[in-house]
Amino acid sequence: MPLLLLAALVGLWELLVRAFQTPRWLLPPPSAIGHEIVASSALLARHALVTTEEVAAGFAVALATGVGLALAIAYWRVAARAIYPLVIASQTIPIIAIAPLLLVWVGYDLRPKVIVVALISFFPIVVNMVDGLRAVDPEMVNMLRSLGASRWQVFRKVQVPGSLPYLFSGIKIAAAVSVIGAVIGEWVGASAGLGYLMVQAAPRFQTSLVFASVLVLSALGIALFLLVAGAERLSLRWHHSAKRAKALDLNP
Amino acid sequence: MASEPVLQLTAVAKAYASGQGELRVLQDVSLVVRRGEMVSLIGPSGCGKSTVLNIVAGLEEPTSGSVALLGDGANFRDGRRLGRVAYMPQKDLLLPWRTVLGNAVLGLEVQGVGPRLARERAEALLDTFGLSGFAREYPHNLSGGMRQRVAFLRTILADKPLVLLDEPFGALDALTRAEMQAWLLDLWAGVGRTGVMVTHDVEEALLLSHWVYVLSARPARVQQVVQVPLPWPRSRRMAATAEFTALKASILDVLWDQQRLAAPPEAPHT
Repeated sequence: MPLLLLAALVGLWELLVRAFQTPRWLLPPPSAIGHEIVASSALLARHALVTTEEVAAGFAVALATGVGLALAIAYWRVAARAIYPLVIASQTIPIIAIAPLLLVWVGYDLRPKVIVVALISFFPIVVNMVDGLRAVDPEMVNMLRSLGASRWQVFRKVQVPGSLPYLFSGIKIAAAVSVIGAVIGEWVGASAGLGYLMVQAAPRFQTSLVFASVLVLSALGIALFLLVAGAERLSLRWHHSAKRAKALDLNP
Repeated sequence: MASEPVLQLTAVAKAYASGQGELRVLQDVSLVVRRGEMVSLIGPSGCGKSTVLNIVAGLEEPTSGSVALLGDGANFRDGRRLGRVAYMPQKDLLLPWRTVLGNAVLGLEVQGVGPRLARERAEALLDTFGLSGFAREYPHNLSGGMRQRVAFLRTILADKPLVLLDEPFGALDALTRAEMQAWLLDLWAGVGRTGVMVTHDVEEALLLSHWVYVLSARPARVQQVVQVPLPWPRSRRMAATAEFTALKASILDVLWDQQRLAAPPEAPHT
């Protein structure tokens, strides 16, 4: 269904652009963008690789710090009081304003982009993981304790698997926004990457190249999302079959 | 039947700090459970029956009084009871991400029993617990009665000298409940378990246990101790005898008096 709607919209775009003979530098027809992607595939691939590296590194940093912070917040009251409000406050600072500063502070290379990606995507991971760890049924914890389980065993057997569905929700949101982070990082100062390519192409009226970059970026984001969703499906079989059972009303 | 005691509570009292002063839940609970005996606790709702089990399991400590788990020369005083008794809480508390088998072996796993041995021991009992063919199902695919039997299997497999059951059939419909009671009687006849069971069903208490302790309204004291004169093995038919009915009526009288004293509707769940 979404593909059908998309095809219709693209077709309409093509038709209107041709009917009104809109100049290509203003709005190229989809067919021209298609040509651009094929013609500049080597260029796009080279810059996409750079952006992918930034996203992957930033995402990894976000995952590690996000999970670490969530654990600290969930199990250490001082951290919950001290860190959690700061984590939330950090999201009210516009990243686009800090990005140029990061450039000044850490340099012109990969690092400021990785930091921007991490800053923008660690937040949904922390918030969801904290919710997941807090949602664990205390009676389940007591049941394990009465069986003689140590704190570590309770953590591994109840808290970790119980919070995984929440963690994956957070990671999926993070995956979607991490690409945006990379582009912001590249806009404020870079010598490679799809964001850089767009900034270079736009003032030269290479509008179809801008669109081509956007498409590749979007594909990158979708691919990352699907990757996470696939990992979720593999590791949370019980969760999906439970959701199905609920949807079919097998267990009212 | 004068076998050695496995559990001894002496003048156990429990109070919680609450908004205005303290909430006294248990005032004076003393009881003895001997090897091979089932003891039922019955009382008005909200009287603290579950608190007794939480204390015996080691999840909570009494404010005063003593708890002793005895037997095999061991004597585990306060604070060392966690992991020494098998506790089956009111809710089945099955881990939704584990299959029937995975849930059943939880206690063995915590004790460090190897996965293969643990699985073999669980599989050997699946049939007895009416779960054969369901080993690899997730809990959400099971009926309430089956989930309860999985929780039971997990409790029995933990292999402890004392079993604590908190309203084991409370969440089930009447028919499933009767079925489970009959099943439990069979199981008991086979393995001869020692345990404490909390229930609010007088018939269930009489049918399944050697002793019935009737607790007062909160703060709970032991109001009456009844030795059930029925022979073993028990069967559901015994509930129809005149003797049984008279006993049930006398316990209900005590309970009703206490229920009137108990806090009105908003009383928390036991």
